[in-house]
Amino acid sequence: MKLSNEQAKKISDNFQSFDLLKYGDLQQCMRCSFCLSTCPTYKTDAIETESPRGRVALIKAVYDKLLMPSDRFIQHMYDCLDCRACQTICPAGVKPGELALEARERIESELPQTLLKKFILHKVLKSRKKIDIFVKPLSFFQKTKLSQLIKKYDILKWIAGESISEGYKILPNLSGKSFLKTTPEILNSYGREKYKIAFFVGCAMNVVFPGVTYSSVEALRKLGCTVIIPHAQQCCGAPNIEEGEREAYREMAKFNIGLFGGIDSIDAIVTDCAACGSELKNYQKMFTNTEYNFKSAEFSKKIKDFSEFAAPILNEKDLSPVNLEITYDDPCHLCHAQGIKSAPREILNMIPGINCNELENSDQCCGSAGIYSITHYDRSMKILKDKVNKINKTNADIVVTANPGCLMQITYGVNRWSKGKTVMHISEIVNKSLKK
Amino acid sequence: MNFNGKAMISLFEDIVGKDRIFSEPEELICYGYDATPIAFHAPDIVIKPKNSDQIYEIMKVVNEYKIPIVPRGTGSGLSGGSIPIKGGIVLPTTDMNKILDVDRENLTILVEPGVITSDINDTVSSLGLFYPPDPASMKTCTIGGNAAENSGGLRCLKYGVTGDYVLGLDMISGAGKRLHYGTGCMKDVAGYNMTKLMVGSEGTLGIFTKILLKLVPLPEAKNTAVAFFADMVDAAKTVSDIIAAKILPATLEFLDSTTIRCVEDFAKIGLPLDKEAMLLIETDGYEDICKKEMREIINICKNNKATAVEEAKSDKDAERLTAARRMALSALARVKPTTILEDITVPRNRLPEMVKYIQITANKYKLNIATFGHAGDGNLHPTCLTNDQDKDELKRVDAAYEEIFKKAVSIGGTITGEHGTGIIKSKYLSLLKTENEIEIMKKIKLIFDPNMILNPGKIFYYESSKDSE
Repeated sequence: MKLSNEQAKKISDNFQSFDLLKYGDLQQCMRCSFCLSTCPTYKTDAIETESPRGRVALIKAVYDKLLMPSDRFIQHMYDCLDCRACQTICPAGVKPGELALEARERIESELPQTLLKKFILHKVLKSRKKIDIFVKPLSFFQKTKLSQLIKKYDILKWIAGESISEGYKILPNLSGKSFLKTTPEILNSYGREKYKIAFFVGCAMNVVFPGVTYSSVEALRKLGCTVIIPHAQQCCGAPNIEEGEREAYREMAKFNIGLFGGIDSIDAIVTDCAACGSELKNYQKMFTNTEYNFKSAEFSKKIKDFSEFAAPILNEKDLSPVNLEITYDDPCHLCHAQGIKSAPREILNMIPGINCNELENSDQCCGSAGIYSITHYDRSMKILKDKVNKINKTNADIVVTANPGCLMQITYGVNRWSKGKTVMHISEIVNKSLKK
Repeated sequence: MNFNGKAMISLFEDIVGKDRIFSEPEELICYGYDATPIAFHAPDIVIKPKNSDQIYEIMKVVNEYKIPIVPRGTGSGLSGGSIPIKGGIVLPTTDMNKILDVDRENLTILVEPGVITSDINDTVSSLGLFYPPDPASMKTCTIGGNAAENSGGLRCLKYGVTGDYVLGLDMISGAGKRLHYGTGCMKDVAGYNMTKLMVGSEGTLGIFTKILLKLVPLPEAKNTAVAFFADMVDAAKTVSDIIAAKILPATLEFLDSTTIRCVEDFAKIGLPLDKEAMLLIETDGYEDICKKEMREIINICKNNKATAVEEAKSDKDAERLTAARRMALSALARVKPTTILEDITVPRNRLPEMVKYIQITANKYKLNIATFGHAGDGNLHPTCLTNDQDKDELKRVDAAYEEIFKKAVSIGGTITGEHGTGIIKSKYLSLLKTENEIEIMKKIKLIFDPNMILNPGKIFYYESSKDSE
């Protein structure tokens, strides 16, 4: 794609303001370089333009009219994995990850999205039924001989190149039945009801890992939760935000806020998807100074990640031994975007029989990052290989994590570069250990 | 002189290949800065060499065409040392990042300049060895940059600075000559000590291609304590008394009242807001000696009217106690959009006078200046919290710092302890050195770099230094 002069000029004008952040957020960067040590793209590319500091400098240069937006500039904005590791380490509180998303939004408002992308971001994510329409044939196709042949002989690699062919392999076998389709809207607690919660089902969890979400909900029921799962819930909007789309995003957000806000006296809205949790907590920022200000803040306050909700209410006497040699990988959207590092570790240390090996740089991205493993295949694989090398240094048989993207990516990684290791969501282990 | 970046590319393509040359506007912007506040100047092209042969060939071309060339690590410097204020080429040596040899018998390590400083300790600590210099940016900065700037850190009082560990250097001079200075020997007085001259030469004499570093045994134990004082003078007296008692703590750090308040505002860790000074003290070495030294230090603190002293009882405790010092810069950097960090150093016994003077000067110019730093070696970081959009305030910042530099020099101190002269201190060099002394330095520069192409415009003040604005 080649950006026309007119488009470049319009994007340049767009950069005179941002949707959420301000010029001060750019100015705050003192270029100290601390972020370079944690940025996955700086690690793979070793060039300043692929660093958080570099991206902030580029956005500031466009704002200051020192730089005209170009295809290359856009590329750098989309090369960020949005892992937010830079935001954890920045001494000055700069948010390079969020700034890159703001830049994408300013870019997307001028550059028409491809029809397919538009269709997915605006239509498919709003309706879980539509998602099922895609899942069914894909799942059926996966079961056919043709699919097995494709995987075996790398046919897609010849037709469509390595990234599409490997991307296809990253996708696990789909069951064909989504979680929402097979679960009632209300599930009562086992035993006395101690909490009443609503459950947010992420799109990827819904269609790719329905079994995992089943474990999450079961574990919550064993902990005394009555779980309400509104079937009408829409996508959290994270894919839209990542692509710079905010119109459909805000519509879906308003819908979700209204839907969950309508449920009487719930203690929390729990999710087992770190990316969704992070986005849902972000709703309050997206509606500052609007009529949704209060409602969105109330909604965001109720959002709890599975570990965040479970850790304080787990009781050792309810846990039976699970004899596993494990290691824990921090999902970026849990540790960096939500600041949750200790809750999952507390849980794993509490369960008898578990031996938890610390993973070196456990808070470094695995390279999944939404559809990054397909859009930026080579870099994503480099990042993943590094993760698997570190996993291989531990004695773990099982890698525990808490996000569907990481589950898919690390599973693919250990299958390719490691032997006999499996990947599990933390809720599966909790559910295994909890007695009914 | 004006160089056409695009036309220059063809000169270097045969040497390094297309994929090691960067000349798009985005790339030039990202190699026009380092960590120095406000300073910026874009290069014409960026070349990332893979080995010393490529640098050697590049130096031939730049000498022939008189193209400015600026070596760079990861750009974490604080004096503008790697900013190409005359344009030309920026030469990041970040791809030359191999650890070539660890000599366990002679306790040395041979590295390429692009090795990240903390990687050295990560490599040798499992062998029971230790590379002490620890600049704050050690997880991102390169050893080449550290050697060029003679970087310090928190452990200098006991262990010294980068230059104390550089035993030898391979380099290519500004004139393009391959030179090797130093040996792996602990004693070496053959000829002038050129290794010492090269360390801290800020990339103006040569480009380092290999660095031989001294290692020391890894200390067995570490003890940590903090002490608070109601009066700055008591804190400073504590520092001198500790040294006078013949104890060399590994770390002896200082936070002033403004810094304490900013850290508490930011982190809410329960620091006392009414105290003038906080000291963070660490001893290291053999376990029993380390403990004994800490006992004596605590007594000295108490004798000097410390209002509270706390010693760490566990590693977790130690982490909590060092938190305030570790967070100092973060806490300060969040207060205002622009943070201007300075680097004066004074004799230890003049610390209280200097700190008081900084506070008075800040008030006089209506500025917010917080001071923290390495009390043990007299190196202070007065940090001005300002806004680079406020041109009037920036003028006052300049004026205040000039007075602070003059005061430091007048009491036997220096304008920079560990950040370097670069572009931002060059106009103050004459406060410290006579015309004769500077003339000799300039002559040395000309011997190594007769065409004045290697990191031009640094250290010495030229009227055109203002280009960097």
